Amino acid sequence: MKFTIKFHQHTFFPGEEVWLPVALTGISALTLQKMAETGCFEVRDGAVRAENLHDVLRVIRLRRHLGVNLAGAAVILAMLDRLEKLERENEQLRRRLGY
Amino acid sequence: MSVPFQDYYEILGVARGADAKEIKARYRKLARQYHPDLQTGDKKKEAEEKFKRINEAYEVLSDPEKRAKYDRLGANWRMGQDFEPPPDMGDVHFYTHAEGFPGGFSDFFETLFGGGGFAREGFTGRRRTRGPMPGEDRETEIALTLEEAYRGGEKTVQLAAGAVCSVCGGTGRARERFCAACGGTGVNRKETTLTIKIPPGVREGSRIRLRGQGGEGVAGGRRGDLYLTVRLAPHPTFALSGSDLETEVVLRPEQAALGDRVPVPTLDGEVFMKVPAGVHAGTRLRLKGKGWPDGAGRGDEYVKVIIDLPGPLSENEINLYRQLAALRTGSGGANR
Repeated sequence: MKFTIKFHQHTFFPGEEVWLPVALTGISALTLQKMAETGCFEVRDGAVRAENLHDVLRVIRLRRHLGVNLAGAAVILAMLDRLEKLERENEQLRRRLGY
Repeated sequence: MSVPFQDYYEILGVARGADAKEIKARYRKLARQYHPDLQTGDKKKEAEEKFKRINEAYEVLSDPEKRAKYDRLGANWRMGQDFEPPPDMGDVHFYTHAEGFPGGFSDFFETLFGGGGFAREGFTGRRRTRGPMPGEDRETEIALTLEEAYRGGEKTVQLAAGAVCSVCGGTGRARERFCAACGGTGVNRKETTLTIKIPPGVREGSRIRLRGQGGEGVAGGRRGDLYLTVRLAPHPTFALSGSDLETEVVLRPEQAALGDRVPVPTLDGEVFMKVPAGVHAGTRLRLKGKGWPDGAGRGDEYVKVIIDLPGPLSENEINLYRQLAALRTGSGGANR
Protein backbone atom coordinates (compact mmCIF):
# COMPACT_ATOMS: atom_id res chain seq x y z
CA MET A 1 0.00 0.00 0.00
CA LYS A 2 1.44 3.36 -0.97
CA PHE A 3 -0.05 6.74 -0.33
CA THR A 4 1.13 10.27 -0.06
CA ILE A 5 0.59 12.22 3.10
CA LYS A 6 0.76 15.88 3.88
CA PHE A 7 3.87 17.31 5.46
CA HIS A 8 3.45 19.28 8.65
CA GLN A 9 6.26 21.35 10.06
CA HIS A 10 8.05 20.04 13.05
CA THR A 11 7.01 20.45 16.65
CA PHE A 12 3.91 21.21 18.70
CA PHE A 13 2.85 24.80 18.67
CA PRO A 14 4.05 26.63 21.77
CA GLY A 15 1.60 26.01 24.57
CA GLU A 16 -0.08 23.14 22.76
CA GLU A 17 -0.49 20.50 25.42
CA VAL A 18 -2.82 17.53 25.33
CA TRP A 19 -3.89 15.93 28.63
CA LEU A 20 -5.55 12.54 28.57
CA PRO A 21 -7.77 11.14 31.31
CA VAL A 22 -6.01 7.99 32.50
CA ALA A 23 -9.34 6.35 33.39
CA LEU A 24 -9.35 5.43 29.70
CA THR A 25 -6.74 2.77 30.42
CA GLY A 26 -8.70 1.33 33.33
CA ILE A 27 -6.23 2.40 36.06
CA SER A 28 -7.71 3.33 39.40
CA ALA A 29 -7.30 6.84 40.75
CA LEU A 30 -5.30 5.49 43.72
CA THR A 31 -2.82 3.64 41.50
CA LEU A 32 -2.45 6.72 39.35
CA GLN A 33 -1.77 8.85 42.42
CA LYS A 34 0.91 6.36 43.53
CA MET A 35 2.42 6.46 40.05
CA ALA A 36 2.57 10.24 40.21
CA GLU A 37 4.39 10.00 43.55
CA THR A 38 7.22 8.07 41.88
CA GLY A 39 7.92 11.22 39.85
CA CYS A 40 7.67 9.49 36.47
CA PHE A 41 5.10 11.91 35.20
CA GLU A 42 2.78 14.66 36.35
CA VAL A 43 -0.88 13.91 37.04
CA ARG A 44 -3.56 16.60 37.01
CA ASP A 45 -7.18 15.81 37.75
CA GLY A 46 -6.72 12.17 36.78
CA ALA A 47 -5.05 13.04 33.48
CA VAL A 48 -1.49 12.82 32.13
CA ARG A 49 0.17 14.57 29.23
CA ALA A 50 -0.40 12.74 25.94
CA GLU A 51 3.33 12.05 25.57
CA ASN A 52 3.36 10.31 28.98
CA LEU A 53 0.57 7.86 28.18
CA HIS A 54 3.10 5.43 26.72
CA ASP A 55 4.99 5.46 30.05
CA VAL A 56 1.80 4.88 32.02
CA LEU A 57 1.06 1.80 29.92
CA ARG A 58 4.64 0.59 30.28
CA VAL A 59 4.42 0.83 34.07
CA ILE A 60 1.16 -1.15 34.06
CA ARG A 61 2.63 -3.88 31.87
CA LEU A 62 5.84 -4.12 33.91
CA ARG A 63 3.81 -4.47 37.11
CA ARG A 64 1.51 -7.11 35.72
CA HIS A 65 4.04 -9.16 33.81
CA LEU A 66 7.08 -8.94 36.05
CA GLY A 67 5.52 -8.24 39.42
CA VAL A 68 7.71 -5.15 40.00
CA ASN A 69 6.28 -2.48 42.28
CA LEU A 70 5.71 1.11 41.18
CA ALA A 71 9.02 2.35 42.55
CA GLY A 72 10.82 -0.44 40.70
CA ALA A 73 8.97 0.35 37.48
CA ALA A 74 9.93 4.02 37.86
CA VAL A 75 13.61 3.07 38.21
CA ILE A 76 13.35 0.80 35.14
CA LEU A 77 11.87 3.63 33.05
CA ALA A 78 14.58 6.05 34.15
CA MET A 79 17.33 3.54 33.36
CA LEU A 80 15.80 2.75 29.97
CA ASP A 81 15.64 6.46 29.11
CA ARG A 82 19.31 6.78 29.95
CA LEU A 83 20.15 3.69 27.93
CA GLU A 84 18.22 4.96 24.91
CA LYS A 85 19.94 8.34 25.16
CA LEU A 86 23.36 6.69 25.32
CA GLU A 87 22.53 4.44 22.37
CA ARG A 88 21.43 7.47 20.32
CA GLU A 89 24.64 9.34 21.16
CA ASN A 90 26.68 6.26 20.34
CA GLU A 91 24.94 5.93 16.98
CA GLN A 92 25.50 9.61 16.17
CA LEU A 93 29.19 9.31 17.01
CA ARG A 94 29.50 6.18 14.87
CA ARG A 95 27.86 8.02 11.98
CA ARG A 96 30.08 11.04 12.42
CA LEU A 97 33.21 8.87 12.45
CA GLY A 98 31.92 6.96 9.43
CA TYR A 99 31.83 3.40 10.74
CA MET B 1 -7.72 -26.40 8.55
CA SER B 2 -4.38 -27.43 10.03
CA VAL B 3 -2.21 -25.12 12.12
CA PRO B 4 1.34 -25.58 13.45
CA PHE B 5 1.35 -27.24 16.87
CA GLN B 6 2.84 -25.17 19.72
CA ASP B 7 4.75 -27.01 22.41
CA TYR B 8 4.07 -24.72 25.36
CA TYR B 9 6.27 -26.75 27.71
CA GLU B 10 9.17 -26.39 25.32
CA ILE B 11 8.55 -22.65 24.91
CA LEU B 12 8.69 -22.10 28.68
CA GLY B 13 11.44 -24.69 29.10
CA VAL B 14 9.67 -26.72 31.78
CA ALA B 15 8.95 -30.44 32.14
CA ARG B 16 5.44 -31.69 31.38
CA GLY B 17 4.94 -32.49 35.03
CA ALA B 18 6.02 -29.01 36.26
CA ASP B 19 3.84 -27.56 39.02
CA ALA B 20 2.22 -24.11 38.98
CA LYS B 21 4.96 -22.55 41.13
CA GLU B 22 7.70 -23.78 38.81
CA ILE B 23 5.81 -22.56 35.73
CA LYS B 24 5.29 -19.12 37.25
CA ALA B 25 8.96 -18.81 38.24
CA ARG B 26 10.05 -19.82 34.75
CA TYR B 27 7.62 -17.39 33.14
CA ARG B 28 8.88 -14.52 35.28
CA LYS B 29 12.47 -15.35 34.36
CA LEU B 30 11.71 -15.41 30.63
CA ALA B 31 9.54 -12.28 30.91
CA ARG B 32 12.46 -10.40 32.48
CA GLN B 33 14.66 -11.52 29.61
CA TYR B 34 12.27 -10.81 26.72
CA HIS B 35 9.86 -8.17 27.95
CA PRO B 36 9.58 -5.66 25.06
CA ASP B 37 9.33 -2.75 27.51
CA LEU B 38 12.81 -3.61 28.74
CA GLN B 39 14.34 -3.52 25.25
CA THR B 40 15.55 -0.59 23.20
CA GLY B 41 15.81 0.13 19.48
CA ASP B 42 15.73 -2.76 17.03
CA LYS B 43 15.72 -5.41 19.78
CA LYS B 44 12.15 -4.43 20.72
CA LYS B 45 10.47 -5.99 17.71
CA GLU B 46 12.29 -9.29 18.06
CA ALA B 47 11.52 -9.41 21.79
CA GLU B 48 7.82 -8.73 21.12
CA GLU B 49 7.52 -11.87 19.02
CA LYS B 50 9.27 -13.99 21.60
CA PHE B 51 7.27 -12.46 24.45
CA LYS B 52 3.96 -13.21 22.72
CA ARG B 53 4.88 -16.90 22.51
CA ILE B 54 5.92 -16.92 26.16
CA ASN B 55 2.67 -15.22 27.24
CA GLU B 56 0.64 -17.65 25.16
CA ALA B 57 2.39 -20.63 26.75
CA TYR B 58 1.90 -19.19 30.23
CA GLU B 59 -1.74 -18.33 29.55
CA VAL B 60 -2.37 -22.02 28.83
CA LEU B 61 -0.12 -23.68 31.38
CA SER B 62 -1.09 -21.38 34.27
CA ASP B 63 -4.79 -22.08 33.80
CA PRO B 64 -5.68 -25.61 35.04
CA GLU B 65 -8.64 -25.91 32.66
CA LYS B 66 -6.72 -24.83 29.58
CA ARG B 67 -3.73 -26.91 30.58
CA ALA B 68 -5.87 -30.03 30.98
CA LYS B 69 -7.37 -29.52 27.52
CA TYR B 70 -3.95 -28.92 26.02
CA ASP B 71 -2.41 -31.93 27.78
CA ARG B 72 -4.99 -34.24 26.21
CA LEU B 73 -3.52 -33.38 22.81
CA GLY B 74 0.07 -32.54 23.58
CA ALA B 75 1.59 -35.97 23.70
CA ASN B 76 0.80 -36.71 20.03
CA TRP B 77 2.48 -33.67 18.48
CA ARG B 78 5.82 -32.00 18.37
CA MET B 79 6.63 -28.29 18.16
CA GLY B 80 5.80 -26.90 14.70
CA GLN B 81 4.10 -30.06 13.38
CA ASP B 82 0.75 -29.55 11.68
CA PHE B 83 -2.14 -29.87 14.06
CA GLU B 84 -5.54 -30.85 12.61
CA PRO B 85 -8.35 -30.17 15.08
CA PRO B 86 -10.21 -33.45 15.63
CA PRO B 87 -13.99 -33.54 16.05
CA ASP B 88 -15.14 -32.37 19.48
CA MET B 89 -14.30 -34.93 22.15
CA GLY B 90 -16.92 -34.94 24.86
CA ASP B 91 -16.42 -31.68 26.73
CA VAL B 92 -13.51 -30.61 24.50
CA HIS B 93 -14.60 -28.17 21.82
CA PHE B 94 -12.43 -26.98 18.95
CA TYR B 95 -12.81 -23.69 17.13
CA THR B 96 -12.32 -24.52 13.47
CA HIS B 97 -13.60 -21.13 12.30
CA ALA B 98 -12.25 -19.01 15.09
CA GLU B 99 -11.68 -15.39 14.21
CA GLY B 100 -7.98 -15.10 14.83
CA PHE B 101 -5.98 -12.08 15.89
CA PRO B 102 -3.24 -11.51 13.33
CA GLY B 103 -0.11 -10.51 15.20
CA GLY B 104 -1.36 -11.79 18.56
CA PHE B 105 -1.59 -15.35 19.86
CA SER B 106 -1.02 -18.22 17.41
CA ASP B 107 -3.65 -19.88 15.23
CA PHE B 108 -3.10 -22.99 17.33
CA PHE B 109 -4.25 -21.11 20.43
CA GLU B 110 -7.28 -19.73 18.59
CA THR B 111 -8.23 -23.21 17.42
CA LEU B 112 -8.04 -24.62 20.91
CA PHE B 113 -9.40 -21.77 22.97
CA GLY B 114 -11.22 -19.57 20.50
CA GLY B 115 -9.46 -16.26 21.10
CA GLY B 116 -9.02 -16.66 24.82
CA GLY B 117 -12.66 -16.08 25.61
CA PHE B 118 -12.76 -12.35 25.00
CA ALA B 119 -14.27 -11.39 21.72
CA ARG B 120 -13.74 -7.97 20.24
CA GLU B 121 -17.43 -7.08 20.66
CA GLY B 122 -17.37 -7.70 24.39
CA PHE B 123 -14.44 -5.43 24.97
CA THR B 124 -15.78 -2.80 22.63
CA GLY B 125 -18.86 -2.67 24.82
CA ARG B 126 -16.72 -2.10 27.87
CA ARG B 127 -14.67 0.43 26.02
CA ARG B 128 -17.76 2.40 25.10
CA THR B 129 -18.24 3.32 28.72
CA ARG B 130 -14.68 4.62 28.85
CA GLY B 131 -15.11 6.99 25.93
CA PRO B 132 -12.83 7.66 23.00
CA MET B 133 -9.10 7.25 23.52
CA PRO B 134 -6.62 9.02 21.24
CA GLY B 135 -3.98 6.95 19.49
CA GLU B 136 -0.40 6.95 20.66
CA ASP B 137 2.15 9.34 19.19
CA ARG B 138 5.01 7.47 17.57
CA GLU B 139 8.63 8.42 17.04
CA THR B 140 11.11 7.11 14.56
CA GLU B 141 14.15 8.24 12.61
CA ILE B 142 14.58 8.90 8.93
CA ALA B 143 18.07 8.66 7.36
CA LEU B 144 18.78 11.10 4.54
CA THR B 145 21.80 11.73 2.36
CA LEU B 146 23.08 15.30 2.36
CA GLU B 147 21.73 15.78 -1.16
CA GLU B 148 18.24 14.55 -0.18
CA ALA B 149 18.18 16.86 2.81
CA TYR B 150 19.44 19.82 0.76
CA ARG B 151 17.08 19.48 -2.17
CA GLY B 152 14.11 18.07 -0.30
CA GLY B 153 11.45 16.18 -2.20
CA GLU B 154 9.63 12.94 -1.66
CA LYS B 155 11.02 9.89 0.06
CA THR B 156 9.32 6.56 0.52
CA VAL B 157 9.90 4.90 3.87
CA GLN B 158 8.72 1.63 5.37
CA LEU B 159 7.68 1.81 8.97
CA ALA B 160 7.09 -1.13 11.26
CA ALA B 161 5.49 0.90 13.97
CA GLY B 162 3.71 -0.33 17.05
CA ALA B 163 0.25 1.01 17.80
CA VAL B 164 -1.54 0.72 21.14
CA CYS B 165 -3.60 -2.47 20.98
CA SER B 166 -7.21 -1.49 20.37
CA VAL B 167 -8.53 -4.52 22.28
CA CYS B 168 -6.74 -4.14 25.65
CA GLY B 169 -6.02 -0.41 25.36
CA GLY B 170 -2.27 -1.06 25.66
CA THR B 171 -2.27 -2.73 29.07
CA GLY B 172 -1.52 -6.21 27.66
CA ARG B 173 -4.31 -7.75 29.68
CA ALA B 174 -8.05 -7.95 29.34
CA ARG B 175 -10.43 -9.65 31.75
CA GLU B 176 -7.56 -10.80 33.95
CA ARG B 177 -5.96 -12.69 31.08
CA PHE B 178 -3.31 -11.94 28.51
CA CYS B 179 -4.78 -10.06 25.58
CA ALA B 180 -4.83 -12.51 22.67
CA ALA B 181 -4.99 -9.69 20.13
CA CYS B 182 -1.51 -8.37 20.94
CA GLY B 183 -0.09 -11.42 22.73
CA GLY B 184 0.10 -9.43 25.96
CA THR B 185 2.55 -6.88 24.59
CA GLY B 186 -0.03 -4.05 24.52
CA VAL B 187 1.20 -3.20 21.05
CA ASN B 188 0.18 -4.19 17.56
CA ARG B 189 2.88 -3.83 14.97
CA LYS B 190 1.89 -2.82 11.48
CA GLU B 191 4.07 -2.30 8.41
CA THR B 192 3.20 0.82 6.47
CA THR B 193 4.81 2.45 3.46
CA LEU B 194 4.65 6.21 3.49
CA THR B 195 5.78 8.74 0.93
CA ILE B 196 7.05 11.68 2.91
CA LYS B 197 7.68 15.19 1.66
CA ILE B 198 11.06 16.39 2.87
CA PRO B 199 11.37 20.18 3.04
CA PRO B 200 14.56 21.52 1.41
CA GLY B 201 17.36 22.32 3.86
CA VAL B 202 16.19 20.06 6.66
CA ARG B 203 18.87 19.50 9.31
CA GLU B 204 20.25 16.75 11.52
CA GLY B 205 17.89 16.29 14.45
CA SER B 206 14.96 18.15 12.82
CA ARG B 207 11.63 16.62 13.70
CA ILE B 208 8.98 16.16 11.08
CA ARG B 209 5.46 15.82 12.42
CA LEU B 210 2.98 13.80 10.43
CA ARG B 211 -0.39 14.46 11.90
CA GLY B 212 -2.66 11.42 12.17
CA GLN B 213 0.01 8.89 11.18
CA GLY B 214 0.59 7.60 14.70
CA GLY B 215 -1.30 4.89 16.54
CA GLU B 216 -4.97 4.30 15.89
CA GLY B 217 -7.44 5.79 18.32
CA VAL B 218 -9.86 3.63 20.27
CA ALA B 219 -13.64 4.01 20.22
CA GLY B 220 -13.57 6.95 17.85
CA GLY B 221 -10.51 8.66 19.38
CA ARG B 222 -8.26 10.60 17.01
CA ARG B 223 -5.15 8.96 15.61
CA GLY B 224 -1.84 9.90 17.16
CA ASP B 225 0.94 11.69 15.29
CA LEU B 226 4.15 10.35 13.86
CA TYR B 227 7.39 12.20 14.55
CA LEU B 228 10.35 11.57 12.29
CA THR B 229 13.76 12.70 13.50
CA VAL B 230 16.12 13.46 10.63
CA ARG B 231 19.52 11.76 10.64
CA LEU B 232 22.03 12.84 8.02
CA ALA B 233 24.29 10.12 6.65
CA PRO B 234 28.04 10.89 6.44
CA HIS B 235 29.01 12.32 3.04
CA PRO B 236 32.21 11.39 1.17
CA THR B 237 32.82 14.99 -0.02
CA PHE B 238 31.13 17.37 2.39
CA ALA B 239 30.87 17.87 6.12
CA LEU B 240 28.14 20.11 7.50
CA SER B 241 29.04 22.43 10.35
CA GLY B 242 26.15 24.63 11.42
CA SER B 243 25.10 26.33 8.20
CA ASP B 244 28.51 25.98 6.58
CA LEU B 245 29.76 23.20 4.39
CA GLU B 246 33.34 22.01 4.45
CA THR B 247 35.21 20.26 1.68
CA GLU B 248 38.75 19.93 0.33
CA VAL B 249 40.52 20.70 -2.93
CA VAL B 250 43.85 19.23 -3.99
CA LEU B 251 46.26 21.64 -5.70
CA ARG B 252 49.54 20.96 -7.45
CA PRO B 253 52.50 22.90 -5.98
CA GLU B 254 52.67 25.32 -8.94
CA GLN B 255 48.92 26.05 -8.66
CA ALA B 256 49.46 26.90 -5.02
CA ALA B 257 52.48 29.07 -5.86
CA LEU B 258 51.06 30.90 -8.87
CA GLY B 259 47.33 30.80 -8.18
CA ASP B 260 44.68 29.31 -10.48
CA ARG B 261 40.99 28.79 -11.13
CA VAL B 262 40.05 25.27 -10.09
CA PRO B 263 36.83 23.26 -10.12
CA VAL B 264 35.35 22.52 -6.68
CA PRO B 265 32.21 20.57 -5.79
CA THR B 266 29.20 22.32 -4.29
CA LEU B 267 25.74 20.97 -3.55
CA ASP B 268 24.52 22.76 -6.69
CA GLY B 269 27.19 21.16 -8.87
CA GLU B 270 30.76 22.05 -9.77
CA VAL B 271 31.88 25.69 -9.70
CA PHE B 272 35.24 27.33 -10.49
CA MET B 273 37.01 28.89 -7.54
CA LYS B 274 39.81 31.44 -7.74
CA VAL B 275 42.88 30.30 -5.78
CA PRO B 276 45.16 33.20 -4.84
CA ALA B 277 48.88 32.94 -5.58
CA GLY B 278 51.03 31.70 -2.69
CA VAL B 279 48.25 29.87 -0.89
CA HIS B 280 49.38 27.57 1.96
CA ALA B 281 48.28 24.01 2.69
CA GLY B 282 45.45 24.04 5.19
CA THR B 283 44.13 27.45 4.16
CA ARG B 284 40.33 27.57 4.08
CA LEU B 285 38.94 29.45 1.11
CA ARG B 286 35.37 30.66 1.31
CA LEU B 287 32.66 30.28 -1.30
CA LYS B 288 30.07 32.74 -0.07
CA GLY B 289 26.46 31.60 -0.06
CA LYS B 290 27.23 28.04 -1.14
CA GLY B 291 26.49 26.48 2.22
CA TRP B 292 23.31 25.15 3.83
CA PRO B 293 20.00 27.04 3.62
CA ASP B 294 19.63 29.25 6.69
CA GLY B 295 16.43 31.22 6.98
CA ALA B 296 16.16 33.44 3.94
CA GLY B 297 19.86 33.10 3.12
CA ARG B 298 22.51 30.41 3.02
CA GLY B 299 25.70 29.60 4.87
CA ASP B 300 29.09 29.46 3.17
CA GLU B 301 31.20 26.66 1.82
CA TYR B 302 34.78 26.43 3.10
CA VAL B 303 37.30 24.72 0.86
CA LYS B 304 40.42 23.47 2.61
CA VAL B 305 43.57 23.52 0.48
CA ILE B 306 45.59 20.33 0.20
CA ILE B 307 48.86 20.53 -1.76
CA ASP B 308 50.06 17.34 -3.37
CA LEU B 309 52.03 16.09 -6.34
CA PRO B 310 49.86 14.96 -9.25
CA GLY B 311 51.51 11.52 -9.58
CA PRO B 312 54.76 10.30 -11.21
CA LEU B 313 56.76 13.34 -12.42
CA SER B 314 58.24 13.56 -15.90
CA GLU B 315 61.99 13.97 -16.41
CA ASN B 316 61.40 17.57 -17.43
CA GLU B 317 59.38 18.33 -14.28
CA ILE B 318 62.05 16.75 -12.06
CA ASN B 319 64.70 18.95 -13.69
CA LEU B 320 62.60 22.04 -13.08
CA TYR B 321 62.13 21.07 -9.43
CA ARG B 322 65.93 20.62 -9.17
CA GLN B 323 66.41 24.15 -10.49
CA LEU B 324 63.86 25.37 -7.94
CA ALA B 325 65.65 23.52 -5.17
CA ALA B 326 69.00 25.02 -6.24
CA LEU B 327 67.46 28.46 -6.22
CA ARG B 328 66.03 27.88 -2.74
CA THR B 329 69.46 26.54 -1.51
CA GLY B 330 71.13 29.62 -2.94
CA SER B 331 68.77 31.86 -1.08
CA GLY B 332 69.54 30.30 2.29
CA GLY B 333 68.33 26.66 2.74
CA ALA B 334 66.93 23.69 0.81
CA ASN B 335 63.84 23.31 2.93
CA ARG B 336 62.77 26.84 3.51
